[in-house]
Amino acid sequence: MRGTAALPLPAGRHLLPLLRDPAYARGMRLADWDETLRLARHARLLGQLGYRLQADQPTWDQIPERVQGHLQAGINDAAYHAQLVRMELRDLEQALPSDLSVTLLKGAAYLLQDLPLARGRTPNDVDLLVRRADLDTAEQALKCAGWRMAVQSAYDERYYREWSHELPPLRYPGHPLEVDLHHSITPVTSRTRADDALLFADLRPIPNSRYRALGPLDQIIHAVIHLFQDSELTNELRGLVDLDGLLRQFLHSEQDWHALTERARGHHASRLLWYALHYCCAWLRIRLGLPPQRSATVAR
Amino acid sequence: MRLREQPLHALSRQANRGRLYLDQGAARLRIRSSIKGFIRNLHLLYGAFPYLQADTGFADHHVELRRGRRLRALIRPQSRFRTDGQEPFEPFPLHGALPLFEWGINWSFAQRANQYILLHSGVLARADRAVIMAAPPGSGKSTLAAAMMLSGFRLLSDEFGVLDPNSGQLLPMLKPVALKNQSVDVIRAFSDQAVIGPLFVGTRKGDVAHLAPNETSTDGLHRPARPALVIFPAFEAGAALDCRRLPGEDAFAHLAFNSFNYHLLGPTGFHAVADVIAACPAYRLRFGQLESAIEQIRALLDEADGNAQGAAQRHPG
Repeated sequence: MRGTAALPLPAGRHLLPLLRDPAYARGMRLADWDETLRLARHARLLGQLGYRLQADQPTWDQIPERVQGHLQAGINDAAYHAQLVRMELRDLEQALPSDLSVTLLKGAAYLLQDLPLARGRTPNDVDLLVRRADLDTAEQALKCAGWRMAVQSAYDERYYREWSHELPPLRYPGHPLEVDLHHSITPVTSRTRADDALLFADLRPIPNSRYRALGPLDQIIHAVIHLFQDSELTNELRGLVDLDGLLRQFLHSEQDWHALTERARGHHASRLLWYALHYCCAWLRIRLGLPPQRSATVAR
Repeated sequence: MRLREQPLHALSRQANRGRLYLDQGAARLRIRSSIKGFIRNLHLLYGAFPYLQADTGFADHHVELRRGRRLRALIRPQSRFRTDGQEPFEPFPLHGALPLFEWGINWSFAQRANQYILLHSGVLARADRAVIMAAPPGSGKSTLAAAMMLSGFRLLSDEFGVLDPNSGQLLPMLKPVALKNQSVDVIRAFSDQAVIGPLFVGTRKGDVAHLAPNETSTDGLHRPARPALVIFPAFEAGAALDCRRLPGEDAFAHLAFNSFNYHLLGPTGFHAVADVIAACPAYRLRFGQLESAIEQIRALLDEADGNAQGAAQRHPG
């Protein structure tokens, strides 16, 4: 895999190096921060960036005070959203039957597993996964407890139920966050269909919690699929940063990388994995555990 | 050099190129606009503000006021506010660009400045000792703030009490005071020093005109003030002055829950507001007349200063 792909935008010339190495900030002038902060805010990465920079005290001390203010604002905003997720999960716990297996996806899962990548990350909503056979039970339990579907038209609702991998978003009146109830990690219509049997066979309990998480490799595959199949294109740099964090967290040896490529094949997501790793490599300089020739053939 | 000392055409040219900088204290703006009438209003209302010649290349908020395009440039022409690709409000009529700009800045600042506790309050200072005036809209807060500025207080803000949780001090977020409906004539009659911009009729907040911050206020753009007194003002036509001390717990609740982001900041916000309430006596002030209300606030500030000095002597250091 080539690691020399051109940077996406001239404006990203400071943001990407900062995401690779916080110490890069030491060489930045006030003017360099101008568009960097705006881009980071737009990509919903201000909190993560702030957290990483603050964790590196000598670097933080060299950042202009005005810039520190913006980063601190991002950190505070992220902490608030993380707290909202914890509160929503606590309420959901009361509503869901205790014998029902419920798996957290993405932000909520990163948060409860206390992964380093969750620090400063601003979650948007709460994503839950249940087996398709349990979907009605979960939906009824939430509706009985007061959650309501935000979707207005019967047409939209039918679309979600027949063609999507989740129900229309649910919200408890007055709560700021939506809850997405999934039965799979890929839409029914998608060319890439994750193997649900594989997925559900490898669920892991989250310590001190009633919830579960996907297996580490499936968390990576899910992030990969989400990166290329989500309908919104605005948060994709953040998706890449999530993926980067997961790879660093869960892969430690060449065997782990092999296992990942195998797993991707099992979920029919080899091509997506190849693309995702390509950009992780080119933009965030993740070091792949495979020799370049090998990884280049993964998708073939 | 002050903004008003620059010729209007020079400001227009800078705004046209997107290189007009404006320092409001807690926020520095970079403005792009081709709307001439808007720049004329800025020139008047921000006249006492420092003119920023040097392009530092950094602004906290990048904002754009632009005309509607195509037919909208000709038929009922519009002004639109945009910041970093976001357009939070529906377009205004072209001549309403200034109120749109003011609301746009309030929105951007309230969205982003979460490193501070943003109290929904006016802040004025005497010798860097701050009076926080918190009240829901319609309580005469802005009118009182305007009158206090015209009576010698330094205006920090009529809308945002920008409380820095690290220092416990209030930072200026200085903008023209938005006067609504009858307040415009009240302030015109109050002082012949008042520089008031054009009246914008029938905005979503009624008729609005803006009072320009004076030099005493703009010269203190980067001078924080320490909280000394908390006032909850309530205007009532024809009412006699009535001033009541509030218990700390009531004052805390009124101040914290009148904030833009108290809910967001968790313990940081709690401690910062608790520190303000511990340091400041708080009063509910019902008033029917500006002069006597300001007289009362001066007396309360004297008393608070006396107590603070007494306390400092009793506990040196």
